Amino acid sequence: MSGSRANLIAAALILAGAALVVWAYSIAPTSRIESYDPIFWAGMVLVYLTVTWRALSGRHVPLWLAFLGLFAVLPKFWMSPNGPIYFDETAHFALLREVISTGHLFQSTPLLPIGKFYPGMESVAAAIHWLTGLSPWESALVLVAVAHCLLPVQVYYIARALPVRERWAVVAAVVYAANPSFMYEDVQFAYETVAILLMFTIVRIYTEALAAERSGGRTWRASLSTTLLIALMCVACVVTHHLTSLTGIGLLLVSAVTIGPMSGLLDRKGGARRLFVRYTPPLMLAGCFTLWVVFVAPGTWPYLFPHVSQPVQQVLKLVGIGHGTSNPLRTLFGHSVAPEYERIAAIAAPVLISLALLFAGLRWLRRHRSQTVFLWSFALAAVYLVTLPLTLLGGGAAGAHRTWASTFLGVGVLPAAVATLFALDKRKPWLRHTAVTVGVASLVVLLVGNVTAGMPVDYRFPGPYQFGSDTLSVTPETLRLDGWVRTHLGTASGVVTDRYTALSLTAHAAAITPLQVPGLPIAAIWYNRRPPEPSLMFGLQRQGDDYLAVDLRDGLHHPTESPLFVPGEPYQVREKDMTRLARWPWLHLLYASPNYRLYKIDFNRYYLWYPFHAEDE
Amino acid sequence: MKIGGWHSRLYGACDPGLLALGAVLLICSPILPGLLRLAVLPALLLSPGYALMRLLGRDVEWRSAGIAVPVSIMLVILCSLALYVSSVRLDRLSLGPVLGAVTALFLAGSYSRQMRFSRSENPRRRAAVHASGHADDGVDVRERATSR
Repeated sequence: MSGSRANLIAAALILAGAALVVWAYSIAPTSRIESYDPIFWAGMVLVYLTVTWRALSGRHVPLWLAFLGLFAVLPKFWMSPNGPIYFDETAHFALLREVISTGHLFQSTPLLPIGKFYPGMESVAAAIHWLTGLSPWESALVLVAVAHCLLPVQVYYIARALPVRERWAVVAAVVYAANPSFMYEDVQFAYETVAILLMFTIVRIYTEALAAERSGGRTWRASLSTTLLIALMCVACVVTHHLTSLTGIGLLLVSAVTIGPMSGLLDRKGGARRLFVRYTPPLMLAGCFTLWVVFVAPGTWPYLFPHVSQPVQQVLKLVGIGHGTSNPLRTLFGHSVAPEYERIAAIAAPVLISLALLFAGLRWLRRHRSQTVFLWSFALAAVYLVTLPLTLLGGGAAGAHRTWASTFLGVGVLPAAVATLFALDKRKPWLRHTAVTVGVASLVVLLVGNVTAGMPVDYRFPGPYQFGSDTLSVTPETLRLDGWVRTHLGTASGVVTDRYTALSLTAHAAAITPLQVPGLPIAAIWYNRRPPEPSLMFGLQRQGDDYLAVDLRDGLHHPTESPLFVPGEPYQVREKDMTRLARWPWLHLLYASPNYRLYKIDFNRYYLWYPFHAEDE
Repeated sequence: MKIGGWHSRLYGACDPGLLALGAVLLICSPILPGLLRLAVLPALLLSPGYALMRLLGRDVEWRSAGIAVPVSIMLVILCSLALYVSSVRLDRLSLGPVLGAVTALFLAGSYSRQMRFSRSENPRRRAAVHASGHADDGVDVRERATSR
């Protein structure tokens, strides 16, 4: 088949795949998941396989891979084409709006206090807005699309530099595009989306520099210019995201000790330049991160530490050493409404990866120990598999999840390891065809299973109202409240409310909505049997939080995904604690709808009222 | 390179003339009207990155767009930080001209580097041509220097 004819067929298949995805999203709000989910996957699998076919044909490989990255933005785009919808995305969009309106970096939002110290992504989105005239949300979408389309391209070039043969580098990029974070996590307008591109670029430049060392002909000048470029990229990566910088340090260290040419861990026989090229980048990224955390973002450590300490404590408790009363284990697909085949794929995906690692690892140990090309892949795939059980711990799920976008790089190269170590290219045709069939089936299982494991259904598809969902709790009634707040109170008005109303008010009314933090126990307004204490009200007054918005459904339902205010809060708000607000004379009703009430807080009246009603229940 | 092929058109993205045009677009972005400002988007995402890569003597062919775009993003972040530290308000009046100036500076630096390289290479090349009796397969030394 001629190249142009094949490209035409590919274009038709991709259009058909895109149409299926859009169709699935158009019927999702009013249908059961069993009806639209297979349509969605048919479209996605069609496009993934078509792009793989064309990329494997060997022409315009980076363009096809870039297209795959771009196409993977489509589901998230259809989820929320007009504005942010996820928690992190809403917080970062609030930061972007603040940067644009003030003209200064390091703005803050109560939804994500740590985001203040990592303004890299917002600065780029704001630059796109200022220089092109696109709206802030369009600028955010452009940045996300550009960053995401380059991810598979970087994976391809990293694999090529290891070195892996071209067709297996293509497979590595496509398998990487089936990682749990690729389709919904790394397409959000959130700092990881841009930081991961910067980090992969660092790894690409680094692995290419090591490859150049391998082939000889490098000069000190070339090595220094490469190191300078990596140093600048390290600064940008650190300024953009803390966790990606940390995983980047790990990735570079693994690369430094596994990618050839090596002569011992310190590579002493390689000479000073090779030692410099090998170890300077991880040291620079670690140095930049340390300096940033010490001098600019000291809050990073307290923010990240619980993600490490909690799983450790929970593991200790499981083995009978630690303390605590609650059961630290989460139930697999506890509240999920994902179809059965998705759950089976989610469990089968890590099993497939484990088998591939096991077979390739054993083969390497027995016959190819001198070949160090795949050590890098084995190490990263092993880290990925080790982090999987952590998702069963309540405190470990978020941290483990965030590492997958990096460690899946190693999983991407596993097919190349299996094919090379077992010399599949030289086997009989029937065996090769069987291997291709198994490979395609495995890719589909990885794609479906990883997306299922990586994101709950309400983060993937629109649907009917669902209490306690970041994405499905916004109704036309919520949007009317947002509109009223924006029109009558203006932007940047401080509104105390629960997590879900806060998300909507921040996204659509540009309100500032404080969350519960130490020293500001706003959940007390909902949960305490007695009226809020003056210390809380003084804190609210000092911050300019003049309004209180309540969703009456807080007293009727229990959120299943995330707490209304803080982990460990009471099971449900008492209904009479919701209705008592109407009787407090220091709350003036401004807006009422069937489910929402918006009050203006009269702080002076509260201070007069409280001494006589402190014991009220 | 195939003349007239799409490769050559894509190669144009990193042509020095287009990079200079990108720098001019960035500098002029505050005064560009309406939809014309959309032309600044490719300039913003490609020109600063390619210009720095030229300065550092890296590959500047179209395939390196995978590095040029992240490098441009990096430069936007660093320029924004520098403006913030200098207490300059970030907006299109400040950021566009600064990014354009940085791009122009990198381009000028890369030309200066290229000229120095040519000067140091020319005597050697002349000697080589004189010795072998023919040019080096028609490959322009300057082009080789910049695409290294």
